[in-house]
Amino acid sequence: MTAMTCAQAIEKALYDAMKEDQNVMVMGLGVNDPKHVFGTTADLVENFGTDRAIETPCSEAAMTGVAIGAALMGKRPVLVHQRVEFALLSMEQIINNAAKIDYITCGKHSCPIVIRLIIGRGWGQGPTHSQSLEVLFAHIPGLTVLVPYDANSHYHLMREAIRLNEPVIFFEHRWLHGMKGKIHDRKGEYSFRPKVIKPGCDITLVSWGYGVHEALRVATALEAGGISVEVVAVQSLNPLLTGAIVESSIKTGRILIIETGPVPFGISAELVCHIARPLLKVRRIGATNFIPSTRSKIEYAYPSVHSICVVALSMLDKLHTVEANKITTACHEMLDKTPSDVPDNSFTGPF
Amino acid sequence: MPDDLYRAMLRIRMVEEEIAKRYDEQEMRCPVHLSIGQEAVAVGVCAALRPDDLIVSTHRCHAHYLAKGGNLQRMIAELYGKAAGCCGGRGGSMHLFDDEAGVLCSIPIVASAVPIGVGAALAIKNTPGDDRIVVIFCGDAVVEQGVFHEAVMFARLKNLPVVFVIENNLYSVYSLINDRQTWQLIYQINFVASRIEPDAIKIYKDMKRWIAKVRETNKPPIIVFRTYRFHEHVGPKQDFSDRMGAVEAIVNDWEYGKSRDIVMVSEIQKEIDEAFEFAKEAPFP
Repeated sequence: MTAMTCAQAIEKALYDAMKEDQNVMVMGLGVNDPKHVFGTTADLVENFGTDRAIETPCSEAAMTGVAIGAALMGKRPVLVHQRVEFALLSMEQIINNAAKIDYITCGKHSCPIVIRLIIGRGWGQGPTHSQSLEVLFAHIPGLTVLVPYDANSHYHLMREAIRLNEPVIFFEHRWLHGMKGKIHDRKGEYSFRPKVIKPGCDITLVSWGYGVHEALRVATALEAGGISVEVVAVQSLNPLLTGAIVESSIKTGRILIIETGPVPFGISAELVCHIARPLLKVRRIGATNFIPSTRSKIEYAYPSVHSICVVALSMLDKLHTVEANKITTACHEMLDKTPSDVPDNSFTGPF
Repeated sequence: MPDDLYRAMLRIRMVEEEIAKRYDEQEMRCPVHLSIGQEAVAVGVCAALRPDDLIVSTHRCHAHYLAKGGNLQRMIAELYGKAAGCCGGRGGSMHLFDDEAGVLCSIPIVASAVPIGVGAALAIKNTPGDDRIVVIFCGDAVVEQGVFHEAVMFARLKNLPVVFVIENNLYSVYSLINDRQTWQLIYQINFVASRIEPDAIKIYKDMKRWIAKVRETNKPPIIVFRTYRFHEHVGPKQDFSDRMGAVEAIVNDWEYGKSRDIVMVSEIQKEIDEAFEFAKEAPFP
């Protein structure tokens, strides 16, 4: 295929998806205006009409709920916000509804929506038009979070996002919209795994979205000094597939992760956990992805004294030992016949 | 009152009272928001709908679910946290749904289900040959949430087949409506509101009129029904408070049931007992 910009790749993906499936619809502020969301929705309303390319009011929360409601009825809405920050008005719908419908209904209902978020940068965007915030969404179980980095991944990840029966958050970047690249024909599913887009052996650079291009420029600069750089592009933050990254860390021994937003509690923190796991005795234990109402599953939903002890014992290589038995007994003695769904025996409901 | 409307209300009342009675057994271990006192709205509205029409509801969904034809055994099993519950035990009392009965979803966060109902109506409108209606049940606090107004405006802008039914029971937990809203808000000019007493026949006839109009014009009305809940916001206990002096007239109407039609009462009680037995015997997930 000919080279096209990432914006054009998104437009082509939307067009191709809408042509293939009557149920696909696009909605958002600016979808049908002369700018067509940076060109990404050009020609959609002309080809598919205003019932499928919808210019919405400035009501992010309601439009997200509307997309979810339409998805429950078999539509496949793609909702777009011109900046990540606009979606903040709809976080309740995204986190409480979109991400939970499949779980609550045991899969009887699904929520096949795609929410496109655009990270702003430059031209004086300022503090509330240039945040990345991927980590907020990546942390929410039930959401798929995709981060394309070139025209090819923009096209194929968008097609996959629409095809999936789950809610997908699709991150774009203003400085990628104009970047050109070739779209390759796809045979079968497009993999979400990170791509080693440049092999090397002295140091690994990891990033996603616009950060990938920064990494490639850094690689060029470092090469000028004779350093061999491996660049890995992450394409999916949830699911976070870390195999290639861990392999690369073993290969080069040095990993430098480039965030598009502030570092603390960012995606890099999660990546570092995966990279460090084979090397250090650092483990984590927490609650399950979704907390069920029923008490029969509640005791497995949260870490318990015993389950935490098991992890500690495995870190000390003391599982299946005499000490382990003593500890298990101590754990059981500690539990004072309190049911697992109340803080203490005095609690009788209802709230 | 026609027997079927009365029976539907009585059945809901008896189910809710059974839940309140058995709550102390500590087997229904989830928050329950009982609809005792509000049965007429649920029954009157749902009686005016086709079986394939859809409703969405809130945390106080028991009456809506049952009035629309939701399966009683799956509801009680859900309260007991069993796999046979409509959500497989995952959702509890606040998330009841039943696809066969047209109960699309119940969402506990106030106003959260409103745009979802509007979205369902949008999908219906964009499907040739689909002439279903969506009824969105809400409480009076819904007008305090911005997303409600956003959703209403969108529904009106797009002429969607949706009816917003607000049950004004005067209280949001313990907070009286006068302390939360400028009273006029609920009767704003954009709202087509009717102040209707909790009489199922009147509600049914009014809703038939409104729904026929919506099927014809696709102009979504907001209908406000005045009603009252006799139990606390959440939980089995009674919580009778008449700070507005508005409730006494309603109370007298609500003492129906036990002294009337013994055959009907015993038939319903049998169905209820069987549902609770089913729920108790059913396995956990």
